[in-house]
Amino acid sequence: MSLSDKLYKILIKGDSWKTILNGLLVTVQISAMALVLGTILGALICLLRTRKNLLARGISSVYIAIMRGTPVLMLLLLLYYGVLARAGIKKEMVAVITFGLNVSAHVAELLRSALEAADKGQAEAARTLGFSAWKTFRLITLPQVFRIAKPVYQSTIVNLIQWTSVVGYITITDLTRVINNTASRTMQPLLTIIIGMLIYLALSYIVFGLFALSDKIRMRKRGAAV
Amino acid sequence: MKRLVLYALALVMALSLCLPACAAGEVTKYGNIGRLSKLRITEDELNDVLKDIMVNSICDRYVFYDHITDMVMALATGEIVVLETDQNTVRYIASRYDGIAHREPYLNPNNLLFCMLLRDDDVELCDRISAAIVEMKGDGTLEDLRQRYIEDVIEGDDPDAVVPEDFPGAETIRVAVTGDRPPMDYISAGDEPLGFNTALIAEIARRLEVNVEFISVNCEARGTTLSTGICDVVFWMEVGDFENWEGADFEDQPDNTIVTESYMSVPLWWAVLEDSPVVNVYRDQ
Repeated sequence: MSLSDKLYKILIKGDSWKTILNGLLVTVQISAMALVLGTILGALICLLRTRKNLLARGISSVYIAIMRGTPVLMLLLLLYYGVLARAGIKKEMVAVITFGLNVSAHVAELLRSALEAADKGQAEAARTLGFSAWKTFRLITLPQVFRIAKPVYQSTIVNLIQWTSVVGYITITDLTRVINNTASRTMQPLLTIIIGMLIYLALSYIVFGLFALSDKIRMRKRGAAV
Repeated sequence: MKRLVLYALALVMALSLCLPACAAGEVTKYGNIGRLSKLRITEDELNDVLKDIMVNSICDRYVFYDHITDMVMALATGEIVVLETDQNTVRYIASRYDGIAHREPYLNPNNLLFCMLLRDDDVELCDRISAAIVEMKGDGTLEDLRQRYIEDVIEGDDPDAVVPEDFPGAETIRVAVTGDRPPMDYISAGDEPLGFNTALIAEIARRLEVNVEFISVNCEARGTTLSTGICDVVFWMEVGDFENWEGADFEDQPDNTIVTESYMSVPLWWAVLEDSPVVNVYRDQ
């Protein structure tokens, strides 16, 4: 069988490209929703983690340790087949919650390290000039935190997209599962997996591209302002 | 004298090459043999159970894989020399993958029986499904389905998915399919369960007058989805494995489960690379 025949069977025959696109859409949806949930939750955890209150710090530290120290697949199985099994929650939502919880721990830590890396002298100077605590945080500290956290945050997003490839364990048909099904049906596992990898790679580079684009826009705006 | 020593050395070398192969009829081992992961018994446990039998095999030991496609890649890359599973799946692989041939196993053949797996508190449903299977065996329906959705598919046919009938108000049974056992259980290009699995379940549902919902699960998650109530029926489970091999008794059925009457009995079969030395090694040679 020629390569074009194999590609036709994998990508075209029986509208399989639509199925692959649907799988990709599921992957993107779960990743995007988990990212939003994880970022909001991560910011809250970071807030607790940087408090002086020992209890708040303790709870957030334990949470981060558990979430970062256990495989996300275990958490997914635990929530779907155990904790949330009788809750009547849709399986896609269980996946979003799982990955959201996992990402929140990573986001909390990257925000904390960014906060610690931000120049404290600038904040002190702003306070001396009469800025309120909130204004100092919003106008001085936060932009620095965003800038410092950005490279790690984009890696977290790409990791998240890759982590979602295990949702087949809870009967969700995402991109990985579609690729597996296609490989089984066509009996062309190597070629099908390479195609799957290329799609994931493209998705990752779209994320990197979006961040690079936002950097360019920011630089252009700064240039125009100067 | 020098010549004598040379002759003696040559004799010793020749004997050292020949003797191990001839000693007590020992069989040459070519490599490992791949099987799909079992539901309960582990790879080491199976190899332990089969250790006396494998002495006579041309393969070293069994290696488990979670997916058929993983096993096909392992075969293609030489990680295993034999892929062993039911004859239908092996013939399907050989018909779709260039360079793979199918053959009978080296040792005496065994049959795989395929049943559906249910929770042990679903005895009534299990009995009803079993009765429908027996009825379908008797009236030839099962054979017709096998011909249409297995034999014809192996030959290259691509039948449409069978849509189960709708029975308003009737109970719905959720059937877990893996999509990882073509042509018996696979997923179409349009992401629909397709083939023998849908045809058989649709026919059983028609006879029992129940609705069916297909749930696509990972092969290794079958037991968990059943025990946690995500599905009511797992479409396939292998039983009767190695039943012709004396001493190869093991239990693979998960706790708290029951199986239906078997809907198919298929010989265990081998897929090998066409250029592998194993392709033409038979026991009587």
